[in-house]
Amino acid sequence: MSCRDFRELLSRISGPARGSDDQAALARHLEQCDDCARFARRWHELRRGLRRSPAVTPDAGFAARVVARLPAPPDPLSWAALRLLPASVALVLALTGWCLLATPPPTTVADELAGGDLLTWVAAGEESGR
Amino acid sequence: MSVTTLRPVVLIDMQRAAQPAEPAAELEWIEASKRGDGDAFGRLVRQHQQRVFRLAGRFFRRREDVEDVAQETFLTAWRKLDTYAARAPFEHWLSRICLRLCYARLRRKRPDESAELREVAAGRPDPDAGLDVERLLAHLAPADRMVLVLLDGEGWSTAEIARRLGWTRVNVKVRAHRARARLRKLVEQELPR
Repeated sequence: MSCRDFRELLSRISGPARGSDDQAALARHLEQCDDCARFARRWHELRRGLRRSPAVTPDAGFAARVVARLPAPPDPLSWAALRLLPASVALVLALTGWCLLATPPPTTVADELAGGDLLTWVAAGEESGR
Repeated sequence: MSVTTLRPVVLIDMQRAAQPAEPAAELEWIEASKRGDGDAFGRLVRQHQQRVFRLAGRFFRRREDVEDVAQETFLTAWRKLDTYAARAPFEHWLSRICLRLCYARLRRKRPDESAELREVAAGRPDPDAGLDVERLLAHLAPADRMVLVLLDGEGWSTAEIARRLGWTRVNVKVRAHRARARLRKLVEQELPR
């Protein structure tokens, strides 16, 4: 086993689940290579450091500080109103459309004269005292 | 009621307070928190603060950073409580929020590379001193560092990390391999001669 193989194997496999063949190969190489023995010591040190529990713990006032920062819960009424907003807008639009369609178009003098003539209409007006 | 009759009750309450909350009690606190009960949420915070600090402490060593992430974790949980459907333990849901915040913070630190991190990464190794794990980890990309710390520090499986981070298992494995290869090189470079 070369030093490169040894180091790759050591860093790839970790913990007690390491196979016995691998263990034996690593041990054989370790016996004859001081550099890799130093590497192995450093590598185990690194792994121990990774496993070490972090030192920072919450102090007694942490929960109170979090609770003090909680935003106020939304007012249920305003929340319900907000949820109804799209439906309200749709209803208003539908009603407006219905009003526009249902209202008859305005009549004008020209409409009343449709098929007639202006002079006849004026004369008729004078006769009736309009 | 005399003091002697009160004492056992107080003792039982103290023992209960030190033990983890039963799921039923925790569910009650969660439901009450969803209705806006800050006191119930405070109980949830006390219940989980140690775990959240431990998780955040794996990625940041300054107390302010750890506390910031922990506070942000609980505030995010409060805002998103409606989305918690109790299909998985509350602790898992909370740790997912915490990890995402840690990751975002690690990535944020990267571009301008905060002075502390740069100092840590560039520090000259002392061959006689013990290994400075933090300095070595500072050389890794945030995602690689996260995977390695969760695998080797927290002892989580690849599948668990993938599930909690929302990454694929292949992605987690690739990052773990890359992180170990990088660390191997760094350790080799710093071997005392």
